[in-house]
Amino acid sequence: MGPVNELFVVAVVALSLVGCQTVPTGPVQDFVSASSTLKQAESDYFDEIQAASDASHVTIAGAEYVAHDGSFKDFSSAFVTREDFSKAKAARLAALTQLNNYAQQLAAITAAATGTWISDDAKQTTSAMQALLASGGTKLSSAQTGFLQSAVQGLETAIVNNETATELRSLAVAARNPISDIAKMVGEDNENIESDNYASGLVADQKQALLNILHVLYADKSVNSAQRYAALASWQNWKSSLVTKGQAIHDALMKLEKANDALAAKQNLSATMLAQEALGAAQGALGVSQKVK
Amino acid sequence: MATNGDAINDLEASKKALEDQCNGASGTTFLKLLTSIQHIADEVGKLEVLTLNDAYTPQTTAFQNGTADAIAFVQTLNSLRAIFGAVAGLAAAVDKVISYIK
Repeated sequence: MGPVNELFVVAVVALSLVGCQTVPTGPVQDFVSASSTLKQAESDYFDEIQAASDASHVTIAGAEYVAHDGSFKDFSSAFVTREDFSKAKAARLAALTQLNNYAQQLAAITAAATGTWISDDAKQTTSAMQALLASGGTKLSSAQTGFLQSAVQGLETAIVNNETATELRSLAVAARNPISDIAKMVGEDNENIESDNYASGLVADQKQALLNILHVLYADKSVNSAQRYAALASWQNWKSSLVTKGQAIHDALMKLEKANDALAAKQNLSATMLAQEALGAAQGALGVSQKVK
Repeated sequence: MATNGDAINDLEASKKALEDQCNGASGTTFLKLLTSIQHIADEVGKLEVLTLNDAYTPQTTAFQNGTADAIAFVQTLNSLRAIFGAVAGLAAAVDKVISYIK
């Protein structure tokens, strides 16, 4: 067997390795997207809670003011009272920032593993090989050169894919615990904010306070029809501050867990399919029909 | 100490009482109910903030470790790239890269 044929045998083996593993680009993209969505939804969630709580205090104190109940000192104190949810929000965003940083590094891995540098290297290496063979009196046809280039690229791809998929799987397995911790945090927040009717209670507070204002104005004989109508028109345009991001957080968490599970899973099916494709390409390039193992 | 659920239940009960009183209630009764709701709403808010501030938040060490591992692996990929780029001939390249697969 001449040097060129030996090279082609190696090349066929190289091509058959291409499908040993693939880089799970899709699940990584899903993971990055879900982690980003989750952080934004969590941030919005606490902004909504803060806004609804503030609105509730203002409207309740406003109703008290309109009813002329108690001293002005009491009213002014109630009117500026605010609950501060910033500490709770910061604690959650700190955890989710860590998740986002981690997700960005996963994206960096897939970007590095799927760049054009592999095919660029393949061309360079094949050119070097071509020159080496030419110096020994052997000349490759353009078809042979293309096949060698594919083989080199296939080898490099096989290595990078294998290393990358193995690493991503390892990272995904390790990430299950912290993701489970985040799920626990989301579950507890849901319990504290929504299951105990706190969020819906804030809306009810706002609505009730405004109705109270209308009631006082209605009962006050010194308020004329136009003033009552003006109050009613304002009430019609009023919208309560709602807490609505709970479902978005739940959905993003589900997607995050699904993407991580996909990263942690083996990819036997796609690997087998790609290996067959690589083998077929090698056989076609060599013009042989027998199976090469 | 009352739980959030207890406070909210009290609040809801007061609102119901208020609704009942609003239909023809005297001004004095109405104002007392308003004040009562104000106090309960304040209490619920404080309880809620306290609960959320003290609620479980995940430790981030695991993600920090994972991030460090991922950064290290990007460097590994760059090393592979340097190795591939340095290979001058196909035979040498095959030997080298196969050793990485094993």
